[in-house]
Amino acid sequence: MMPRPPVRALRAYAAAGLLAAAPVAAHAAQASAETDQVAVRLVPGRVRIAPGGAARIALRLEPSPGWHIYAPDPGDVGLPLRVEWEMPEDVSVAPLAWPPAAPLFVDRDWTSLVYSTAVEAEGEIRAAADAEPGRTLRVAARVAWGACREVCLPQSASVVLEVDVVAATHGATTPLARRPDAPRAGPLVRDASPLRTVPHPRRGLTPLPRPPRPAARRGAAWPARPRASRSRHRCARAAARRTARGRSARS
Amino acid sequence: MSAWRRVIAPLAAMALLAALGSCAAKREAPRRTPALASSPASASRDLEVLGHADYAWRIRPVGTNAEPFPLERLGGRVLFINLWATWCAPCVAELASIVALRDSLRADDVAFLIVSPEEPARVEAFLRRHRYDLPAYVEAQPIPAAYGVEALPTTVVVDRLGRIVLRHRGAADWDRAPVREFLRYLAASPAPLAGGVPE
Repeated sequence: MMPRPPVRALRAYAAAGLLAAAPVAAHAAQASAETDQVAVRLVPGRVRIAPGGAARIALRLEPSPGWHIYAPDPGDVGLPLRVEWEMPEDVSVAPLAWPPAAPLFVDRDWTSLVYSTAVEAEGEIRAAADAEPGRTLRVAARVAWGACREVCLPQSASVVLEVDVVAATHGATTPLARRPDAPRAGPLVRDASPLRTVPHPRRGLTPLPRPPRPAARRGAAWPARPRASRSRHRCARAAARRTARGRSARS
Repeated sequence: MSAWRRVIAPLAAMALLAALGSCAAKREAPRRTPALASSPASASRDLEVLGHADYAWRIRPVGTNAEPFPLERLGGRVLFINLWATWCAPCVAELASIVALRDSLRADDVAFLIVSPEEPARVEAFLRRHRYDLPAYVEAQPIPAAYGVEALPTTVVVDRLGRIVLRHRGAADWDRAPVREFLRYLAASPAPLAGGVPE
């Protein structure tokens, strides 16, 4: 079960005006929304399903350049990405399958798991067998995430998927068919190489000036941290385990 | 010599704050160099004031059964307030430097507070697990707008007169000599007159 983010934090910072600094803009049909830091979209925004049938959907989040969002399992530190669905009884949504996230070095042997470019989580929406054809049902996903760069912002947005319940002969999207243009495996859409996509403090994630100690390390842009590689390996191993679990679950 | 140190300290702090600006999302700090002054009082008047602390803000100590109290209880002291959260990686990254800074200023009248909007148990478990010895608090009420917190981490320094003289957004290495000198300079400034802290 996905851990719940600290809702109180969201409330507190909303009250303090923190969230006001990142207004959410909802787009046509509310299938997409965005803040200055992250764009959220349900793909597609409208599906046609026959009673008892199902369709594949995807939730896409795209951080703005320089920003990243934490994965549902954020690793050692991070605000878990969370999705809550609101829907009528006639439809159900299977849990989303998130691609593996990229490790992000935080400090010492701490590593977060993040998405720093667009990511799509695939899911399945199913209409009940007794759903009445001709109806249009609205399925809302409330998405909450933590967007970080040098600073962090807890944010959330709601996007809506419209489900047209149609008779089986009216082009319902069953059986499930995967969209050919959807990103597949790998944590990142444009570059699946974790070694090249891990934002490193040297490139601005945690812009701490070089600590003055120990003296022997003076002159380096950032002190070599002997435990960093170990944690990166540990994190990579954890990501591999999650990938394996995900594959086995999907199969 | 002492007078020179009092003059040089704020100047060095200004240089540090300028350096911090290159690596933070947004920084608000004194931009005007304090005029050369022979006394801390006159130099203090020349610090750029970013606002005034809202001492009515209530915070709750973590790890004790103490009741929430208003920040007013700490009025008259220099306050180093770090707004953070356990889920915020940049916040966590700078904790070690805050510990070191606090340790180096134990003899000075500077109150360190790390304040999170999370549940006390979560904060306490995090600090205990990672062995951060810092005076931790959680918000008993949302932080007032006067502190200008728009993202985490944000660090605010309040002088003894209740004036916000530093606001820094983003992680930083706080364990640096100019920061220490700046805080010592503020701590050595005259206390507010009897009658409480200014509004």
